[in-house]
Amino acid sequence: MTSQLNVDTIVDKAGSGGSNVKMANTSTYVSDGGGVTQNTVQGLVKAWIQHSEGTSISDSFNFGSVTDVGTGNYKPNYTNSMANDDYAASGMVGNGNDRYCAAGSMTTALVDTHYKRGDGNTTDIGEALLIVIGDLA
Amino acid sequence: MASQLKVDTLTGVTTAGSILVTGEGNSTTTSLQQGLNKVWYDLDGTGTIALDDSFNCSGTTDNGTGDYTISYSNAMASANYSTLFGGGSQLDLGTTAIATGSNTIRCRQGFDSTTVDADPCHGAVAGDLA
Repeated sequence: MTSQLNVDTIVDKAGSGGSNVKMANTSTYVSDGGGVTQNTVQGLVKAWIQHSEGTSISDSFNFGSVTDVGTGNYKPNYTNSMANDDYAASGMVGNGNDRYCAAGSMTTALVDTHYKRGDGNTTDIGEALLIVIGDLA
Repeated sequence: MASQLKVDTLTGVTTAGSILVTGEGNSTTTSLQQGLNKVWYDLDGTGTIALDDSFNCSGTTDNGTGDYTISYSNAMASANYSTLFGGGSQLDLGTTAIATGSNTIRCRQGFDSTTVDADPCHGAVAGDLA
């Protein structure tokens, strides 16, 4: 039997916030327009990070560390692994003009990021801004 | 004692499509629906194009070299939504046509703007579902 819960706000049992609420990966939500339902967990960003040149993490979610491979080449490592290597990642460069982020090898444990100038030359960065969306293990 | 609530669908009371969740800082609430990605994909644009993995995508159309249309299973409410992209080295991804049911992207080499087939082509969509 299907069930429906009508609520306006979800918080944890203690009422202190939403960070302790767990949601099953089959949960669906009613869309913004009310016309369809979609899987909730599939829509969540699974990892994000802002890190500086090197391994210093300014803030992040589900990235535990960054490996500095060399100039403009960093490997942020996931805390919780992805289910496979078929996921989406998008990166930008903060505090740096004429620089872009490209994905190298992607694994369940990390995403290999390369930062280059428009002419294709590898470059150092100001800040790396990365978002990952896909299936967690 | 931890509690567990089992449901299949979450629906707002005041507005069906708006459930509020408390923010990480515990000082604000934000819309769960508005914060979710509505589409994402990992597209291989080389050879016979294919979605290696995706969410809310019903198929792809190969419009020519580096020119692909990704169709959605559940449509967006309007064409006014946001997309983000990612890809391999020296690849410049952008959108050329946005519709409620699809998004057409173009892949170019960043250094000379030549249109090329590419793998991977990553994309995601944030906005209002229908």
